[in-house]
Amino acid sequence: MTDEFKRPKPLPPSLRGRRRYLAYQVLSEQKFLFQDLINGIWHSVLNFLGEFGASEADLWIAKDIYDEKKQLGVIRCSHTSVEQIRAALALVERIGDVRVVIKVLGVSGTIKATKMKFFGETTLTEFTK
Amino acid sequence: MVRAMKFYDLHVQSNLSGGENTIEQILKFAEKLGYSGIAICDNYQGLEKLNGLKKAVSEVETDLEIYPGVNIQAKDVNELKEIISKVREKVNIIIVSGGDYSINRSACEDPRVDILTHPEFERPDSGLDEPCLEAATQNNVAIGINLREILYSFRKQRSYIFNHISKNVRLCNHFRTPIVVCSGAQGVWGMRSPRELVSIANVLGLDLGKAFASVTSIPQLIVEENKKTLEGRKITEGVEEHD
Repeated sequence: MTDEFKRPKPLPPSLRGRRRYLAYQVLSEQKFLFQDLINGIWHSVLNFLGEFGASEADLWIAKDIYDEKKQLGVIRCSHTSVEQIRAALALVERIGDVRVVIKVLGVSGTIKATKMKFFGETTLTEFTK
Repeated sequence: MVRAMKFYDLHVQSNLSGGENTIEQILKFAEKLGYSGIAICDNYQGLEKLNGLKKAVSEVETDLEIYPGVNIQAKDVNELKEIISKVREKVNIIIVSGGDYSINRSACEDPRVDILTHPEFERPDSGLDEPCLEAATQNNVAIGINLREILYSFRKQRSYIFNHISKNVRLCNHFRTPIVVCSGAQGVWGMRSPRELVSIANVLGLDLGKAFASVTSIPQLIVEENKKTLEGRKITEGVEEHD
């Protein structure tokens, strides 16, 4: 394996940053591209928190969890900046030329819990019950 | 028993005074966002328009609480006093658009006013001082944080607005003046969910409990007190009629 594919060993849980996952729903007047949504959110966060604030927020917009039909998605941020990210999301006014309102459905500690709480996903154990 | 929180937005404009959407559309969207009550506060344009708004509000069928209100944009103190005395007996919510210092101060000193919104509007300072806030606390006038002012400003201007609002929030905390967060929306796309308004208030310096109160208990108290007065149940401060 070449050097560029080598990754550092995963940190033990006690040394990892504490994260929160925000499930959001986009209410919009028309359809829009997901890439425009990412740009709109980053634009708002950078305007509101600045570059340093955004770096402290440890922001990550999940691409593979986005539900295009229901316009539901997940954003990850550090546990100290949840309120700031919520405020930044409230200040997103347009995505491209489409007027939108981003509504945060709730906050969880893991992606799994987010999916189960807000995306209506169930586990096999629940299914057998 | 756990009671669910009731969220209120006391400042939304309908298409009856330059807004974009009808009252029905606003209510439908407010329900989606999770509100329990909305006050339609149109700009004051004479008593005829106000009666039209009251009629439209009373005719609408909805599960939400809906209240007619008025947003007063007065040029001077005399005009402000005149309009307040005309509309106080007619509407549930009176909002005064601040900006001019004499208007800010006059609104704070008038117990008939419910909310003084954006006292820092187009000013180089925060627009409030010690006498204003002492009077506002005494007369139970809430200071309003208006989301529209923040939402449609950019960069340097927005940072000035944040700075002025934070100063007002700090002063309000000191003088124990109630704070209300409203969207001030002119259409449904200017509205935001109540929890997001809480986050904005929190970021601007209100602690989380007070930020929740600014969209729940404080607007609810304003609405209930005014309802009692309009129905004639409240005779004077502390004296009420009971069934």
